[in-house]
Amino acid sequence: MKLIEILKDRNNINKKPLFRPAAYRPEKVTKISTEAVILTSFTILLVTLMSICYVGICAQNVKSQYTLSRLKEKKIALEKTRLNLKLEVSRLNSLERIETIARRELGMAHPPNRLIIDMRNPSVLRASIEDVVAIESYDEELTSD
Amino acid sequence: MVGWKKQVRDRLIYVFYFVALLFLVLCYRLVDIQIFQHDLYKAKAEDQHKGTVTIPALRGSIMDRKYVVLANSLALTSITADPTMVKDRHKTAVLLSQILGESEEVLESKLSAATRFVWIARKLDDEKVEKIMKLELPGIYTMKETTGKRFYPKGELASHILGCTGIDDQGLDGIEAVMDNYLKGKPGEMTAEMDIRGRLIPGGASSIIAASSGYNVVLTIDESIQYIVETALEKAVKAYGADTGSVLVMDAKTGEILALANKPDYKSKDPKSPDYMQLTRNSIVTDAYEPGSTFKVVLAAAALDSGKVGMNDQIQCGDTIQAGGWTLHNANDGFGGNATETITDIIAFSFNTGSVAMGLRMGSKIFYDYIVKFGFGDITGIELPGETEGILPPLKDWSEINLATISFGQGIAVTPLQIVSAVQGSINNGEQMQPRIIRQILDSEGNIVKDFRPEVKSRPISKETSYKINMILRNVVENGTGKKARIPGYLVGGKSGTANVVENGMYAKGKYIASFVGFAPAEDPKFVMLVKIKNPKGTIWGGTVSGPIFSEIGREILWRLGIPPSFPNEINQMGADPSKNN
Repeated sequence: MKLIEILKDRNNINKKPLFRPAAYRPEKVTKISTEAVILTSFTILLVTLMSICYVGICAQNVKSQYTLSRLKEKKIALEKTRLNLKLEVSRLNSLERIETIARRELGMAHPPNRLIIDMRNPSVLRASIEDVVAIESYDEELTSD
Repeated sequence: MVGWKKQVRDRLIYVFYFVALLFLVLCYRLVDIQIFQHDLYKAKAEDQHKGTVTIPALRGSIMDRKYVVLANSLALTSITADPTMVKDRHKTAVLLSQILGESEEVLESKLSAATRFVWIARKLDDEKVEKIMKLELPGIYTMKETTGKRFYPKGELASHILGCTGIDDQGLDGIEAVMDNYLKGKPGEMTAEMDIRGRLIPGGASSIIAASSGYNVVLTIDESIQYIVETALEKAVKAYGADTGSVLVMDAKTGEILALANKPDYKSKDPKSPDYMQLTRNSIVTDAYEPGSTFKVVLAAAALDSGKVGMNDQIQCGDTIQAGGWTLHNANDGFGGNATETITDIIAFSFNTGSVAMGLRMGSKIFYDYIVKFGFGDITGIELPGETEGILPPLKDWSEINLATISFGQGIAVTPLQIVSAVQGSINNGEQMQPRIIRQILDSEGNIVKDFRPEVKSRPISKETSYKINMILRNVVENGTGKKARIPGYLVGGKSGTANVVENGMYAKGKYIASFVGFAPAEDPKFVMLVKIKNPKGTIWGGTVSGPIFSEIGREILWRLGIPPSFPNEINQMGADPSKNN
């Protein structure tokens, strides 16, 4: 039996077509407005741009995190260097070391005498100034030699 | 046809129910994993990708009163090994030995240990660590320590004050031990997401318990004065061939310790040497000794303050005196049987008989009470370990002979700190200050956490008595046994003392402690200093042995403190040559 006959039989039995051929369907006219096209395109573009931006920001963020991590390590290293240098300064300022260098390498010695200038007593002050002048002239003589 | 369709439909229904059931099971499992067992699986996941890193906390610094660093810690790395992973033990030991300077045998035995973890070297400097890691030796690893390594940039300076720390940077002695709770830091911990190599994943979840560095401790000592004291003391101990020497310098107004030294120093000695442990003792606070005539300062203060003796009273001061059935002598006889002297001259020339007479005139109760008021028989409470209270016999045990001998400083044992504190109280308008060696505690940013202010400990004598004591002690240096302690250009007060060394409960024959306790400038004292030399060779007298050391150190301290001399011409005429003194 041909398919068309079968269909006819079925139509006869149910008095109701099983389906309506395309020729009988009312024509659907889809009308897309220009605004909708623009809006859709804009939305797609926006979403795309936002996605690109998001990915970019995420990448930038990861990069920053790596930079931060490196800087933190650098900070720790610098802090360690600072402490090392602080210790070194303290060691170099050791009075024992300074005295040893002054005595052994520079041949220095404690002054045998100390001169006290009493600013309250004018006569002593005058005498002291004369002493100082004498010392300075002596120094100048040595320098000029 | 209909049967076939029904069959297919039924099968489809079974498949649907089966798939639905499967889906339900999966849903149940999902809910079970995600909700009911959420914590368990979360923990398991974190275990796999999270790691914990300990953040080291450094021990605080110790500084002098001018914030000069005396002790500091640095974070260092250690080298460890897993012997089971080491391929060639001998070769590894040889290579490590070249860098570490340790014997190959010791290193090889460490690498042969039947364990998976051994320390190869603790807290190495970065240079050595880098060299070792460049070798890429299998089984050799680095480990960042949670504590640092202690450094003392001034070498042996103030070693008896500072003490020392152990390998884990814990305080073992001195200020390091006493202030350990302040100095030690608290290590932190960071738990974070890590990659397969154990590196932190940036942006990964992490939690941090911050490490807190230890507090910095500021001492009352002055590096310059400490150096002056140690240099002079070392020279003197060598010059006199003495067993040991000690010097304590205290601020006369605040009770702050400006310098404290014991020589010889233990840090330059071999720890295996028999006298090493003895040398580690800070004898200024841990060892009591018979003070001898320096104790007459306390006697004079008590006698004058109690009113039992006046400045112009003539006191029996012959060659001998009877007390408790015993005959007591002066150090040098020759004054005759009926000689009398004032308190000023008894102290100036250190007459034992005159001192006994004053003691007997006061009586045991009064004298004992003053001794206790000055703080003898009890610790001073200074922030140094191992302080002893000395030996003060209880009053009920005092007989007349006890009273007599204690009057000239025998039969009682005191620490150098106690005697300095007593003299400070005697010349500071009668106000005895609490001896202190800690000035401040600072946090790692330098903010003050605790500030220790000078405080009056007691007022054993009146202001008037204090002035009289000052005058009496000036006379000792101007005219008496302390002449060699004079400092050109300045007025100095003080008292010499010579006492027997006690060994095994007996006086050691021919062994003496020569001491001098004094202050300067006498008009407005800036410091009180005790010089104590044990068993000097040649001469034994406190004034002769310790007096010149006092003078030398005192002169330098006054210059360092910028105290102008009272008599500048004396300096200009005499110069600074100690041999021209006296």
